[in-house]
Amino acid sequence: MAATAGGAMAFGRHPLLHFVLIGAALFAADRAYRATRPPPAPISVAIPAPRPERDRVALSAEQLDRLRDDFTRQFGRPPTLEEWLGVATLALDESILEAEARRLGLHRGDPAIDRRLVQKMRAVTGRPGADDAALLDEALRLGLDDDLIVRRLLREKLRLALRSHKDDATVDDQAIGAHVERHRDRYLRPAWVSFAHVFVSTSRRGVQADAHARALLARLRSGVVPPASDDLSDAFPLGLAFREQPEDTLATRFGEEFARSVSRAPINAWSGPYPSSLGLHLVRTTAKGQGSLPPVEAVRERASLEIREARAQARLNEAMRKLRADYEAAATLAAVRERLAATPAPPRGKAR
Amino acid sequence: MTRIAAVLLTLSASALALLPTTAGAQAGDCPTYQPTRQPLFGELHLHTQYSVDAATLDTRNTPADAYRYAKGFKVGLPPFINTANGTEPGPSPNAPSPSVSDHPYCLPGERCEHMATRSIQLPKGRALDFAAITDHAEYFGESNICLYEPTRSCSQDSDCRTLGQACVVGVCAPRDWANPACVLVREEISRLRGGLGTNVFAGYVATQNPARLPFCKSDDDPYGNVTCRLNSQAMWGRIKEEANKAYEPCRFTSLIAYEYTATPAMGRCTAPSGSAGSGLPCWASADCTNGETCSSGNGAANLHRNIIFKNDRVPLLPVTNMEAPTGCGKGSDCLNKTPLGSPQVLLAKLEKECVQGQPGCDFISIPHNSNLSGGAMFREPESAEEARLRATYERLAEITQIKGQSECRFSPKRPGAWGTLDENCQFEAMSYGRLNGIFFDNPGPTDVLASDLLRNALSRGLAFEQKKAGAQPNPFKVGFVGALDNHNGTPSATDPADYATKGAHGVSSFSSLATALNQFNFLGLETNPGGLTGVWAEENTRESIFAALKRRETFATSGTRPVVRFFGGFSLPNDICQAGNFPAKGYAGGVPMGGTLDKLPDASTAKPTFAVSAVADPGWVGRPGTRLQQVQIIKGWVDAQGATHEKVVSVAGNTADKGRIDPETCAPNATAGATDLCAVWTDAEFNPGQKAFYYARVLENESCRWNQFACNAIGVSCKKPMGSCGSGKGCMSDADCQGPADGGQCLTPRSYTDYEYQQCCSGLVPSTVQQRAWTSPIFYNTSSM
Repeated sequence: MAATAGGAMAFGRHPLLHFVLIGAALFAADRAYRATRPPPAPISVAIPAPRPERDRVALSAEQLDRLRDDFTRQFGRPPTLEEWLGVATLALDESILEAEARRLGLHRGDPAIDRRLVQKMRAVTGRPGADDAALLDEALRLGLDDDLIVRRLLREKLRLALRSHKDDATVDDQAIGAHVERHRDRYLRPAWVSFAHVFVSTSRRGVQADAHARALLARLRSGVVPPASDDLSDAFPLGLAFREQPEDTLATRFGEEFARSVSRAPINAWSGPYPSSLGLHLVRTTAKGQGSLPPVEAVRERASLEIREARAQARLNEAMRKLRADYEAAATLAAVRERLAATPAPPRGKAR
Repeated sequence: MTRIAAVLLTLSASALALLPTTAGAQAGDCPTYQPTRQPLFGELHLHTQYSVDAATLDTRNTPADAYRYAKGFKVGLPPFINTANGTEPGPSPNAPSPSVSDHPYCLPGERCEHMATRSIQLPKGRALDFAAITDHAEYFGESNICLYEPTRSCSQDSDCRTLGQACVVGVCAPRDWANPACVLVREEISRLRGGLGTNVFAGYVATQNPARLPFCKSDDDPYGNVTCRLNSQAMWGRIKEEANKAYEPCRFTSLIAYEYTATPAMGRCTAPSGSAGSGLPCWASADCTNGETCSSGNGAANLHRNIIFKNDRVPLLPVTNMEAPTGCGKGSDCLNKTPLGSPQVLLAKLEKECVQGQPGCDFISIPHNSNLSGGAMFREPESAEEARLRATYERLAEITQIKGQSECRFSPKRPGAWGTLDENCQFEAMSYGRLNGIFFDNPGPTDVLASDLLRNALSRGLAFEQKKAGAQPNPFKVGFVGALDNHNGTPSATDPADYATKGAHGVSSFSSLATALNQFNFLGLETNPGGLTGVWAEENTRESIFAALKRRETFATSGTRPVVRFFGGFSLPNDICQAGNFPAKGYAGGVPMGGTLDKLPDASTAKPTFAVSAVADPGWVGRPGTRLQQVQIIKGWVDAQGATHEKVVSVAGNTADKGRIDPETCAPNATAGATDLCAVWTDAEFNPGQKAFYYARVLENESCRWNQFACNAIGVSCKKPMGSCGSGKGCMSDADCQGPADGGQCLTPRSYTDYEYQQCCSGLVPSTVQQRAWTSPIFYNTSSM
């Protein structure tokens, strides 16, 4: 296909063309595809027993500086003292998790970590043929397990362990009922109203509309009930009777003012005229429902998930509280606060 | 992997996909059930991260996010930046590797690897009733393989128990994830965004024989090799799962859907004399008539369709342009010898795999952007089978979306060039007729073909049916829907003020106001915020909405939410607008929009009556809707000689007063126009022997087009000069500042540039528009049933 230069440029901005382009890039590089390597063999290492002692975890001056620099890069300004202390507290939690994970030996016998260490060691020593177990042992002795990915894996493993509990799967209906009640705002179904109306078109009747509406209301109150009242209505495309309309639906179709009016209108009696975004309405409500909580069976799945998550989070919080005490976090943070307060803030305006 | 193992994997995955996951609601189950039907607003065309092009635009919203947005929740938009500091909880190392990435992100101010720098939310009260998310199904497999974001580390394949995945460079990912093609794609996405390499590659999938990408290709299976098939299935499975999760019967309906994306880069038939000729599409000169020859042309024909399913009984894999390319005509060396541009293979395959292949499965196919199809969308069927398939499954067409309206076209510079003198057709018309984005200053009927416009297609459908004398059905008996086709994952984001700042195409289209206001940008100045679909359904369930789509009881809007009802019949009461229950009388005395009026017994002299009732968009708190200007009825018919005709009648409202506004404030005119309009119209010229269609068009008063919101936001006033000289004198260029105290330079205010001022005040596109609604047509059938 021969396209003019201008055409090609414009065509290039079309998303569908990117669609084409990405395909083409796949195509172009496909020939270079050299596929497989042999699957790696598992390595076995004995898991040692946990070490009993817990040492206080500190945050070094370099770590604190790095936290401040990261913050500055991300937010375009240096942190305030409180913000700095905030990120330091989070970092301390991570360090505690990591220390505890190592104390428990969670870094031993993890295939993902072991594989990574063996690969690192192999790259460092330049002995591609060496035995995996020997490499792993050497890597651990050299402290190669102190890297970003291993640390993250360790933290997540421990977090997961602290969150989980053997009774996790069971959430009884009583707990669900209590949960739904406690989070009414999340679960409440909106109030609804069923009603019939007679529409009075302001566009058709102009300044007379209000007077016409009042005259019609008097006629309706003389004993006209739906559907006989339909004959008194101006044409209205949405119909003249509505069942169990939630307030938000009414607000969407008629405007908020009308939705409020109808929810307050007397039951089984004509009232109005109520203005909407579309004209005037004489309304007869036939049934109303208060905002209500759904039955347990309708929300079991969602509520169970939320409850399990809340329980797991509570377990984690409690475990973290204990760990912070064990690792004397308060003392560390007091020292950090002292040090940060003494550190001059870097000059502003060099963030970028 | 052996062939047998591949088959086993395929079988187990298909068995899983066959299990229904959501119980179907029974008709009448909903407390809000409305026997005379209620208007539900929704989206029928939208892309998310799962469309490859949206992914390259940095969109991270998945269908799950799109549904959340539709329900009124806030979602994020690109660009995304990394705000993680390592303290965020990471994915659990023991969790199974998901078969499709979640593409997680966080909202502005939060910390994570992908923090959205922009966010968007529907105003209160504007949540949607339903949505179909229609990701491009081509390359589902390829994109899941290459754009997968691994979450689980591993040391060997057995650590990854997810179908189609392996342990690739220490992480669980689809097999082939690390193949150089995929690595290149991940590294090159930012460069691809710039449109690099356009000419080298553009023909690859736009050819007459579109094919899978080589690393996915299989000699035995059109859906690709095992890895590709499994990853396509995973993606399609995820789309289905996210739709099922979002479905809340009676409150919100999600429809399982995809987009079929045929984009053949066909040539155009040109006259031997060197004059423009017919401009009709062709692969070879054998496709042209009247001695014309096939020349290469810019861009490609948009032959896209959105395939919408009735429920979650869907085929194992979507039928895409790879397995079912559009037909490539007479002379071309191609595999699909069906008529040029025809969807016959697609529709036949879907009929076989869905309607005949799975109990309970049904679908409709909705062509879109016929305005950009280069004459290919509505070519006459060449066989009874082709006509039957189109008549059966293509019951709707998208009349409006971001890339323009396809109803009709009028230009005062070329009156009648597209078969109409209807001045209200000057609305959101693109200046070109193929997917190439060239801005034409004064496009002609060979740039945009008259046959691509829906009003003409409706007439031609009637003429075709007449010519075939009942042996073949009308292939273009379509109703109307409106949609976005946005690539941000934000259904029904049609607010013009929002569009001015957030655009619709990820990082690309509106990265700066200058790109938004650029008429040469394919996704710039000429585009619009997109439309919406209204359906008349008894209740908000898949069954009820799908039935409404099938019977064409739909209306399209250009993005606002007026509500319109349209009935036609031989016994509609003349006083239907005077008093009474309009919908009940309408159904009793006629057929609704999308229906068919059958011929009365020969002796009858009755003429059909049409009733239309419309109410204005109520707007939302702080943003009142725009009042209605007028309601029109558009009639098209065929005479005994087979010639097509049309007529536009204004039946209600005020044709002279558009409710003028001041574009510099964009405040709606609170007095002109009406909040409701109702009219009855009898077709006095009705001829019972002539096939006809009738649809209603509701015009709102004037309101600001999106570009005007953008220009107001930067403080451009076209009533004032662009800048000022040193003396304070207004100026348009330095030449205006050559007086003694002028300083020689024309300085623009800091809030805008001269280019932005020029684009805002150029008049290339209007500063105001009349938003509108179109009802599906009512058809008159000259044979009695």
